[in-house]
Amino acid sequence: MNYEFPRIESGIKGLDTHIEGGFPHPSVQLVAGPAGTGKTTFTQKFLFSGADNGEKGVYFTTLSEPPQWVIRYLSKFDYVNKDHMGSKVEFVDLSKVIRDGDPERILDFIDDNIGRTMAKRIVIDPVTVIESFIGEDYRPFLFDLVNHLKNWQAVTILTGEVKQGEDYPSDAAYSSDGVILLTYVEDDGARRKHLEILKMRGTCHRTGKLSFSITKEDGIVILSGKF
Amino acid sequence: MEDNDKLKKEIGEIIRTMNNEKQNKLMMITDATNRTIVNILLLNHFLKKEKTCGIFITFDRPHQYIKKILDIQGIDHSNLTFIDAISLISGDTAAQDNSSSLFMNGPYKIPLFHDLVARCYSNNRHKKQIDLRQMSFIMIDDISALCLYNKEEIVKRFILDFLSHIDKLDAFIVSFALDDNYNKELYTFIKKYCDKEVFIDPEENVLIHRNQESVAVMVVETETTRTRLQNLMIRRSKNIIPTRGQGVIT
Repeated sequence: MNYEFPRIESGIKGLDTHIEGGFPHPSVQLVAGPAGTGKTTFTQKFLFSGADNGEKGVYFTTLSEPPQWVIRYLSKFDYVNKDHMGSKVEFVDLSKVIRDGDPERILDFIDDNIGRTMAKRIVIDPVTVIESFIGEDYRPFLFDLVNHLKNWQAVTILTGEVKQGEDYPSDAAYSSDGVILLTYVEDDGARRKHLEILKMRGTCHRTGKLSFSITKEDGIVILSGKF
Repeated sequence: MEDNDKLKKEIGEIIRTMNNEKQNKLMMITDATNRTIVNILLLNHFLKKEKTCGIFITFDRPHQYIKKILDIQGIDHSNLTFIDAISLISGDTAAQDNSSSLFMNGPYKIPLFHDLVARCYSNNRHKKQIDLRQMSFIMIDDISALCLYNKEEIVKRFILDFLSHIDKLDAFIVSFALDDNYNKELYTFIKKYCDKEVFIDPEENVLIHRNQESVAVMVVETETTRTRLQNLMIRRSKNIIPTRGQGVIT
């Protein structure tokens, strides 16, 4: 009797064929990249696609953008069903509890909200800013966070801001089950976006950079050509 | 959970019917992502409605996650004994700090049921006896997780032994919540021994009785229900079964 991981569709057009059909359930995936590469768009498509299938989602904002502004820009995308806002997709602001700098309180707050919503899809955007507030407790915090998130039987996307000189946020990458890197390269004066699956535990995934674009209709769309 | 009043009622009917017909093994088929909600619906029935005592065995994740949901839902779990087989290897030590639940050293080398009950211990390492005669139900979450840690013959042996113990007890319901898309072999094995099989989808508020051939038997009352069911079946038939392709496993 082999144990096959259940998988859930990522919601990202063209991605699932490269990750055996979807994200393992439960799991924690890190989506990392510099500013403007589409991390938030990635997470929103993930949540709203799930919501279209009846799956409850929670979007935790940290210190990048409060929910009000996330929703404002989000509403421009066609794939966003506004009926889901505040119901199938809940927006929770983590900024206040993060500023207190107590890792246990942050975890309790996250646990309380997941327990309350019984969300199956979770986003923490971005997770990397938490390090500034809890310092050397950051790595053990990530260990506990990832453990908790998986024990809530959900698929979680953490987003990570990539600092100058680093390829990906290493602490979050080591703690996560999967790492998806979003980058852009300058090509003839234009910035072309690429997605690369650096790792995904338990998954036979595609390697190498995949071109993608961001459209109003579908959010992130993986293009069929490979870089 | 407030949206699932209809399901709660139907679950209650099923358990009542099973009790009347002296049946005691219930299989709840649901998508893997819905297993928690299904377990909560069952616990709501046993603990809140019937106010009976029971056991909840966790092989998949530390028990405090279910406890927390029960607290949020206002379901008193003082009559529920948790046997937690995973906490000690989970890295999640919160449950062990101040818990009155029972623990096992791990979900591997799973002993026969009688030994499992005898060997589990409370947090202060004192052996605590469970009197099965005081219990009205046992739930296992997640029976398929045993396959991760034990060979097939050990899992089958455990299940057969477990079920034979149940048969010796009166007024006992045991339930398995399982995703038959991902655990076909296990499902086929357990199904032979179950008295009742239902498919349940809390998101669509649907409960479908299945007959011996696992064919859905349901009276569709309205056109809305029919459409919802069709959408659900289409979605379920697209359940992702992993396929190996080019790439690397990490």
